[in-house]
Amino acid sequence: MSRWLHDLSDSEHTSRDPRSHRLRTTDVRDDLATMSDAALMLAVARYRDDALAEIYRRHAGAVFGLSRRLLGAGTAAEDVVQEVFVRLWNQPDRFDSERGSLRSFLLSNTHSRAVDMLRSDGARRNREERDARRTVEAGYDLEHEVWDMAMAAQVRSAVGRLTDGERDAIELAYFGGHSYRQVATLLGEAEGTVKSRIRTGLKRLRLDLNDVLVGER
Amino acid sequence: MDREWDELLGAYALDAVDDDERAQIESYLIDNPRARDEVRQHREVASLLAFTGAPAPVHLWGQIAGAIGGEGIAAPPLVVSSLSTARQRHRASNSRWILPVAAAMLFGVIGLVAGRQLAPRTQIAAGDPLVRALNDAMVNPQSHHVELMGKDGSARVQAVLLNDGVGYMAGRSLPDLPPSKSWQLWGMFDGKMVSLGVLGNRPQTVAFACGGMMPSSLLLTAENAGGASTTVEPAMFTGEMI
Repeated sequence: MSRWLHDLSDSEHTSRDPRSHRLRTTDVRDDLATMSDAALMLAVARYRDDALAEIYRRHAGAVFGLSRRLLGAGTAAEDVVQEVFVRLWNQPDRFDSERGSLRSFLLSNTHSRAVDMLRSDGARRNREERDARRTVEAGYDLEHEVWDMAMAAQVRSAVGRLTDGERDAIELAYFGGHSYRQVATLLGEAEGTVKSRIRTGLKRLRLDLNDVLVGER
Repeated sequence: MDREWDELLGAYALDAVDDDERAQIESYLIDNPRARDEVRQHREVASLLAFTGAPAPVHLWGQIAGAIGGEGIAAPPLVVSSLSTARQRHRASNSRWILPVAAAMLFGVIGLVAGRQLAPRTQIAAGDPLVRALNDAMVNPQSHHVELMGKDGSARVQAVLLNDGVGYMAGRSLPDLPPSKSWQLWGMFDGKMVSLGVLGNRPQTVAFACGGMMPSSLLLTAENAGGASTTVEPAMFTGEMI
């Protein structure tokens, strides 16, 4: 397999622009699996494809799951995953570990791109079909979306402490890809009420999940 | 006016504002670090809601590797086994929040330690979602079972595939490799070997995905750490689909 030379101590190679002088080596044997996300991103910035592979191994499941949740099981969900990881490779400096976790960054990018696609005409019909089901299931799906064993209990509990209105608004906005105005229409509420519920709901989750979030860093 | 924009920060963080509002909020954020921090916090929370155990399709990595322009790119990665790694990292990095769920985890931890010596593998860490998924798949009447036999017949590794192409393997049955080496799982598809994941040198229960296809057999090789895109190593374990 290939690895891109990245050792900062190698002055011969680090004096060059790694993006124009990709040098392969088979000598680098550091344990990527034990590296932090931030360290992996430094390696990605030096064009180490195996570091990107490790990031993919850690986070692609969540990225794909969110994308598929928004866009359905078609190829669009896979396209978004590919876009997100290729963009990470091409623009690693967009990620700042001081401003949040890599997973949050990836998922935020995924969500934003998926929503863009969802709001295009081509995907609208599918969403409308899914909305009918989601409206019935609102609340249930959100609680069951949190899967990771280490934090599922806390997240589920925190989601359960939201009011129905907060939970429904967040569910429809985040997993439905709706604007708050659309959510207001779907729920028959005032726009101001919905945007307020989204914000207060997220704040409440933040308070409840602070320890989990600190641990994710 | 600031208050009006502040009220929209939650919706903005969830991409739930219209394009014109988005532009105005982003302009507002430029000079408002407090609001930027609030958006960041909202997105961190949202990322927790998005957690999912679904593995990304294996072939997706190949597309990404191709898109970033590398022939002989790094080995296709295993997707779901990161859960246990993440959990361990999480435990190590934060002892405060884990205490309330210590009781739930304790069974798994004790089971893990004791299980190495005493318990059957399927009883170890029963709270582990991958172990549960493996056990569920094992008893699923629709699943396909594979018993991978060691070259000398002295060791066996159980794997199971579901009809949707998702599979699980009881990797703890594998002997440990030195840190410089890694087990790698391969599937045989129409006579071609396709990597299904790099398992590390001491695998636990692992999940893999076959992209909706069903291999005729599974193989395990011992590769250099990090895995290989193609292999010349001999198969250490092989098993036909039952």
